[in-house]
Formats: sequence, structure tokens, C-alpha cells
Amino acid sequence: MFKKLDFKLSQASVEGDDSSRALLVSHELNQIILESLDFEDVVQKIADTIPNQLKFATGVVAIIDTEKGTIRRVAASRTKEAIEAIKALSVPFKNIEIPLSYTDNLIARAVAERHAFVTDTVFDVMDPVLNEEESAKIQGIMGTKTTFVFPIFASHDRAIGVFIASTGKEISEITQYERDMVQIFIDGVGVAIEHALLYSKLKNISDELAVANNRLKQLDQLKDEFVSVASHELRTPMTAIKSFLWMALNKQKENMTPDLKRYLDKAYTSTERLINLVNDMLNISRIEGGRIALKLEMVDIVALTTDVVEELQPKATEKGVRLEIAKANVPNVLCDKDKIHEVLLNLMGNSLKFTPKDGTVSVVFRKEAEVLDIAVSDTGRGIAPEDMNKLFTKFGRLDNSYVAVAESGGTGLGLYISKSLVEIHKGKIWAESDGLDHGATFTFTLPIFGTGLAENLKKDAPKETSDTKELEKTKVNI
Amino acid sequence: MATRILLIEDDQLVREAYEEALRGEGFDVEIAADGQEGLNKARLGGYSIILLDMMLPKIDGLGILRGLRQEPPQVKNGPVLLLTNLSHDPVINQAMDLGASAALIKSDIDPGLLIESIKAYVAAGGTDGAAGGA
Repeated sequence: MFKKLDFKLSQASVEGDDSSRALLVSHELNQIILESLDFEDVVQKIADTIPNQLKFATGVVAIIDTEKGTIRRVAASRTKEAIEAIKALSVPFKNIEIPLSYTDNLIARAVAERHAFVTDTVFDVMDPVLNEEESAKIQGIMGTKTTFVFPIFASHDRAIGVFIASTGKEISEITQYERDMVQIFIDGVGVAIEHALLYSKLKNISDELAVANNRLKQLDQLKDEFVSVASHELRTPMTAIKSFLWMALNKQKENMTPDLKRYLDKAYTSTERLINLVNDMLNISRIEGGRIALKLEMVDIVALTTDVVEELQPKATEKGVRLEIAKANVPNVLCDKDKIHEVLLNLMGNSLKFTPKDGTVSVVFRKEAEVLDIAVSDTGRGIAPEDMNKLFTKFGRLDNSYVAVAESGGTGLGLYISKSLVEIHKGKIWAESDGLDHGATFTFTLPIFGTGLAENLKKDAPKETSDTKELEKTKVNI
Repeated sequence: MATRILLIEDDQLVREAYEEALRGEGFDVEIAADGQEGLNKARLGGYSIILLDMMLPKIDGLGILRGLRQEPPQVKNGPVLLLTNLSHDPVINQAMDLGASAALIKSDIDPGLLIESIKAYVAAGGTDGAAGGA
């Protein structure tokens, strides 16, 4: 937002080279505004320009600190007079800070009243930081007779600072032309300063963000390392517990009362559950850390499901539960065999766990355009409506609620892991149930092999790197 | 002739559990509680099976495998089975490259499975411990 450099020349004061100086000043102004966004750079150039072009002895830029309610000097021209004066100051130049409320000082007054002032006494712009005596000394060194104070305005006519120009000329000797030139220059620099200030704020924020981001990455890595180390450390005592329990149950059967056997059986089962939990946590850490890759291939999903059924058959027979697969014409899917094996094992294992004797767990396939729905249904205990939205969360808890969803065993992490694995395949997973004792159906989707969706998955799926790991296999615990 | 097993495991309770389980099966079991002791005994040779934990004090599992490669014992040892709780760790691959035959995750198996594995390897490689190995 420039004020047009359209000035009237007072006839009595036109000097021969005024118009060329005018051009140079406006050129300087343009340079300042266009060239640099660095705050120090910008204010230094501003401080230098007026003295250079208009032969003023000194130029000083002071900027308002809105938080503190003060105005502080930030740059001085590199003229001989200014350099000498700064050397003689009893206070560091950049510490000369004037409260905006102290309108005895012309700087504060110029800001408050929003117009320029002129004085023959340097004390008027130093009060109260320097007293009259010190100010007089400084003025002597500068050798100046007249000091101007111009408020600098930026966008929305907001005052952001002042420009203080001092000259050896008497007030009466200063031409209207010179005053006009300074005013025109000042009108232009407000925007340049504002931009430089904004830019340095942005850079600070950007730097802070970079630091915070690095810290987060570090913490994330520490968390992963901790989970990994802790999980492996936990396995050692678990190995000992499991081994001794096994020996008690397998090598001391004759010496055992039925009660003792029962106690030890349950302890052994709990140990397996504990080991599964650690494996699950390792898996979650890998999934959340993005260290799971997909080995995609064309998979006969019916065959894969049949494998899982075979694994679960002994437990199913023991429980008296039927396992069924609908063997209709099912297209092949694109997926990572190991991962989907885990998903099927989790869903079918859950169904088996929650289905009583004479019940059925069945798997049905449905083609829906480019996607295959795989639905695992059971005639088991079903899901209460209020529990539906807790199913796929970690440990089945939402925020501060302590109502446990995984009632009989299970780690509470299986469904969360299944959901994560399905979603890495860009699939969906959901549950349906008609309520308690009315069974449940868990459905997930996979892309059908050869479709556009499958091609997209091939492109976007996470690839193996030196960082990626396989999943820990969970043992079915029913 | 009894199958001679060298068990190199630093955790006391795990070591005791496996030692007792294997002895109960009729195996002749020798133990080492750290890597240096493990390497020393392995160098004596003549074991049908060496059960090797990877994380050990003084010398680790990889160090032992390297040591056995550099100075193979006069009387050969049978296969080295890794007994570890590190899963999917690059160290396992390195160990396999250095001559280990298999890796078993301790917390995933129980002594019964360990015994079956040992019997399978001994049956496959001959009973006098002269099979190729470390």
C-alpha cells in the first residue's frame, strides 16, 4: 500500500538536484520493500536511507512492542554522527525503551497523536532514559540542531513505530521539500516493516514447530523401543512360569489331586493369555509405528479360510460347535496372506469363544462390485447395543469408561489389530448383532484380484523396508 | 548312548526349567550361564545339540557362533538351535548365516515342544553327535 509519490514542489525551495534525489529516495524505498524480508536488514536500510539521500546527520528507527506498551530503538544510520553518539551513550542503544504512555517524550506523543513533531532538543526524544545533561552531551556529539519524529503506520493505519531524523540545519533552514520527502518515504516503509515483522514471527513459529516435531519423532521412537524391549524382557519370566507349569502338568500327573490339576491348568492358560497379550502389544507397536508391510498376492480366500477352520477344528469339536464355510463361486482377492490369516483367526476364534455347545460359526462370501465381503457369523451370545462402538478400540474401552467389553478372556486387542490390518488393505470392517444371545456377524472387505481397487492397493500399500517386521503369531486361547 | 546337550542360557529360572525337563527325558545335559563359559564348553565338542540363547553376558550368541567357526572343535558338534525371545530380529538371520539350524521362541513353546524338536534333529542327523553343525 504505497502513497503515490505525487508531491508538490514548493517553488521557493526547489534545488537543482532535488528531483534526482527524489527519484533516488523512491528507488531506495522500492528496494527496501521488495528486496528483503529480514527484519534487521529492513530497519537498517530504512535508518540509512534518509541520512544518505537527504544529507541528514542521523536516522533512527524505533519499533512498538504492543505487549510491553513501549517503543524501542532498533536501528541507527551508519553515519559518522550516529556512530559517535552511540559510542557515547551510557545505555546500550537498543535498550532505549520509552513507555508509550509517557507522552512527555515526543516519540510517545507522535504515536499517540498520530502526527509528526519537530524539536531543537534531543532530550525530547531521550526522556526519561537520558536526563537533560546527558542528552545535551549526545546532541553536542551529533552536532545537530533539529530533530524530527515521524510516526510510521502500516496496514489498517496501525502505528508500528517512529522514524527519528536529526540534521545540522536549523528548523528554519529545512525546506518543505525535504520534509515532504521524508514524509513520503515514511509513508512507504510502514508496510515493509510490517512484512518483515510478520516474516520473522513466521520463521520463529516454523523453527519451534521443527523442534517440537523432532521431539515428537524422538518420543515416538523411544516409545517403540520401550515396547519392544519391555515385551522381550517380559517373555523371560513367562518362559520360566510356562515351563514349570508344563512340567507340573505333564510330569507329575500321578501325584496331583484334581483340585491341584485344576489350579495349575488355569495358571497355565493365564500364562498363555499373558504371552498373547505381549505379542499383541508388539504387533500394535509395529502397526502404529508403520513398520508393517504388505506382501500382496492373489489369494484363494476360501482356501485360506479352510486353513483357519482346520486350526480351530480341535477346539470346536471339544466345544461341540460346528464350523461352516459357504463354498459358493468366490473370486480371488488381493491381500497379504499372513495378515488376513490373522484376521480370520481372530474373528472366527472370537465367534467360537462366545458360542455355546451345539452352536454354529459360519463364513459367507459376498461380491460387491470391486470388493469381496467376508462375513463371520455365529449363534453365540451376541453384542449389547451399548457395547457396539467399543468393539474395535484398544482393550474395549472408550476414554474414561471402565466397562470391560472382553469379558471372558481375550486380550481386548484382537479386534483392534484386525481392524488395523484390514484398513492397511484399504478395506472396511464392522459388526452387527441383534442383541444379547442373538449371535453376531463380523464382516470385513478385501479388494477382488484384478480390479481397479486392487491396482490402487498395489500402488499404495506399505512396502517392505529394513525397518518393517512380521507380525507375532497369536495362539488361539478359547 | 545318551544324547549330549549343551544348554547356554543366562536366566537362572529358565535354565533350571529346561535343564530339569531335558534330564527328565533322559538327555545328558550340560549348562553354561554366560557366553564365555558357553564357548569354552562348545569348543570341547561332541554335543549332539547345542541350545543357544542369543542375549548373554560376556559373549553373545553371535559371538559364540563366530568363535566356533573360527576354531571348530576337534570332535564335531551337532546342530545349534537358537532358544531366544527375540522375534523377527535381524540378529536371528545373522545367526542362521553363521550356522544355526533353527530358531525357537521360548515364550511360544513349552518343554514338550523343545523335546520333540531335539529328538527330530537328533534322529535326522545321527545319534553320536557327529552330524554337521556349528
